[in-house]
Amino acid sequence: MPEPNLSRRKLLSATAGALTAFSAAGDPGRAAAQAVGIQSGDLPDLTIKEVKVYVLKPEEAPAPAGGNPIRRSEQYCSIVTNSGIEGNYVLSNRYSHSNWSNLGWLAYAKRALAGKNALRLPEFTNQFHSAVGQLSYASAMNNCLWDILGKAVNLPVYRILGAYRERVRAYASSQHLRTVEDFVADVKHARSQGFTAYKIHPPWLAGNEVNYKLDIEVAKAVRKTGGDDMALLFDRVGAYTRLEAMKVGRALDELDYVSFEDCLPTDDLEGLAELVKALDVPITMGEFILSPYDYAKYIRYGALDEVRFIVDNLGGITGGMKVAQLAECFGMLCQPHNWGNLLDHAVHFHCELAMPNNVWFEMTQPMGITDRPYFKDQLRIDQDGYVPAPRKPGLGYEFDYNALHNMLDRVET
Amino acid sequence: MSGKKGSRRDFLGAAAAAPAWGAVALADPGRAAAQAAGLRRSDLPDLTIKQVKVVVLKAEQRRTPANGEANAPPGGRPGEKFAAIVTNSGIEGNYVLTDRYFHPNWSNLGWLDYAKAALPGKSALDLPALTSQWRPSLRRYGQLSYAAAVDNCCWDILGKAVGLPVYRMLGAYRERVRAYASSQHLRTVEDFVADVKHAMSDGFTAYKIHPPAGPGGTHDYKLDMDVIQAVRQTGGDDMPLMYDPVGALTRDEAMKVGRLLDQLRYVSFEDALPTKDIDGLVELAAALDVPVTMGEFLPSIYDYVPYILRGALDEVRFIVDNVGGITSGMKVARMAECFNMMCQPHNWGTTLDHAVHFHCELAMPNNVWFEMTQPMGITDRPYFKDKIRIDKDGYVPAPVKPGLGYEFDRGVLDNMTLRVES
Repeated sequence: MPEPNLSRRKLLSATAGALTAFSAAGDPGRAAAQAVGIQSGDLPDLTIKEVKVYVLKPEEAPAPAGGNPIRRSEQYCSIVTNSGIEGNYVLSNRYSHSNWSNLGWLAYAKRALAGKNALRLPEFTNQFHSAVGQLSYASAMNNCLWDILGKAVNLPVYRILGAYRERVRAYASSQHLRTVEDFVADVKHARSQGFTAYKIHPPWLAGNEVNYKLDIEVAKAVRKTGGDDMALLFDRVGAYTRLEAMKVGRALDELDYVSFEDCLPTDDLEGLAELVKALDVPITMGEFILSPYDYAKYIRYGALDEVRFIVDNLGGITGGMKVAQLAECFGMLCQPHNWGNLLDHAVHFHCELAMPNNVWFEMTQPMGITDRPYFKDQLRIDQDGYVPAPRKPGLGYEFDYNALHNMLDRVET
Repeated sequence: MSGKKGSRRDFLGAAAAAPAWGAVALADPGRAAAQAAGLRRSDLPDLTIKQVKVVVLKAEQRRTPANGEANAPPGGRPGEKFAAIVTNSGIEGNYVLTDRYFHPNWSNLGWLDYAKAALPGKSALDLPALTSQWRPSLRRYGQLSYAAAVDNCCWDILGKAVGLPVYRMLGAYRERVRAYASSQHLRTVEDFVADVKHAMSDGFTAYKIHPPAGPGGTHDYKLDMDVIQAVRQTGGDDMPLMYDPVGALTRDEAMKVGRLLDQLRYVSFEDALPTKDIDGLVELAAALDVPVTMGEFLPSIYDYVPYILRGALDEVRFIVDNVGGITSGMKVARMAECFNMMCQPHNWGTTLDHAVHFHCELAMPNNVWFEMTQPMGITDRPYFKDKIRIDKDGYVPAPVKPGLGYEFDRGVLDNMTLRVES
């Protein structure tokens, strides 16, 4: 009689003789399935063996047209199972703000995860009863664990979440360019690449000042350049006063824009409710909401028309889907944030592919800026201006681990 | 070279010779890379839907249990029906079809014609795309009850394909859920006292009253109050107790009964009023401490909004059959979570009715309860290998088998089959 800790895999590769009886006792469902000729997946051991962080060498890259020079010092977290499946996500100090950083991830993850099973992901990352606010480390863990689960069952994550679509229409999402001419050139470039929609991140002046009149000029010029049929979006990242937001909003209404995102600071519920009532252009909010449990008041107040989220702020893909489904039950569209690194795009893309109430994929401009030598895959639009779903398992964009190792500064464990 | 038509499985079975690797790399670079690194992943079978059918069982003679439904028709029951979706790879997903409440809005008996037209040739992996009612042109008719059965079958298939119980794909939050014994509509105070004692002796730590139904749809709320008191007295001070008149009270009656529930520290007042009486519910929810629990009679995920915005419920219920299956049940659960509300799905009926809601519960942080149809064991059928039971602490352990997790005994099922419709 084989010892009880014999793996499933060994049993399955054995011939179906007397051993079948043992197999049935150990895993009756599988045995039954096999008896009727079903071969279901043979799931590898998903116990977490190791967590670590890849720190890459610092890099400088030339500024994209009209943008700022890029200094990168990238970090990737990694969770490895006993079976050798590795889940990855990006770690970074977003906005150089402690609320948005997940750089302390490693110490937390080591304590929380070692020896646990990757399948218990929401259990590790849920914050339903949290007294101290959403934990940003939880999001990175959750994303890694979805990556692992997808790789284990050989499906891209969105197919486990529930596939609704196979591609999502993209808008080119601008950098914060400086002048009207910069934007005109950028829209032309995006159109020539095949984008059918465009989002303005308007100029920042010195000292993080904004000039709403310049912004209106940009909005007009982009409409003129893009033509009547291009879908246009506008995102001030919360920098207007109420009066400025109303003036810009009237212009956007006249120019037939389809989204006015973060027009006011997120905490100005009253101002947002006023804008929602006054304007036709949908008010799109949510990137700066830091927990799935903070959306309820915006919905009650009528402080948004369309819902955005950043999975890093609300517990990863699991938390993102909660907000997406909250929005759906309220008949609202949901257009997640999709900015940054390739994996930033990936985690939101999987959510979008599983949502009926989503229209847009946000593609960081210029297309290709997310390419890295250590990613085998690149994000591109198809000939209709849609981004096709990734086909590889997990998050679906594969590391070239050799290239990654060449660019490594160190591995923290 | 095996050529482009060789399946993945063939590739994997081939010896790792140099040319084979090239072919694998072209066809499936992720897999090739994984194999190069020594990983072996699940090899997913072909999940294209080949066939849909309905298994109709023979009519059965079953004895009504001592603490069974007062109004159950005596004697034989019509044979049960199961929907089946079969993939090219031979994986079969199943769900139960029935005419709930003998009401066309609640029936999914027309499922086969719909499923035949909608499903063959599609992939079971496309499940929300197959069943979503988001698009206004689909939603204008109201929620399609067939969609729920399709969705549940597809989850069953996906779970079987990857070798996981469904809740582990939804995202496992717990491994067991505390059960309450959920009574039949018994007739007398004495019936309920005996039933609570029986449930406690079985190991239940919580109990829900479905009060007596009078003749011709009448309802005696004073009798309900006697039952409520007797059950508290029998169960003792520590037993969590719930009460569900299934929407049969008037506003005035509901307030009177609710005051008593408050006094006796009940933890749930379910379907206190007809679901459409939003104003009355708002009044109750504001006046009472006992949570007002609503949602079973909401026939779409898009109908919960006014209840939440107006404060017409404290805790959220759903029946996956009414809202589009497990996929949609999870949407309601997540919406409730985002509003910091508890969600206690319905869990009544056959083993598979319990199963689909149980998987949702196991994936929710905002859930406490598993509803166990009384008496425990009433869902057992000879054609199920698995039974739903509580553990020694009064919790129901998660199923460990893949898919919905409660397995048919195909031999027995075949013997009990009257016909297969396809």
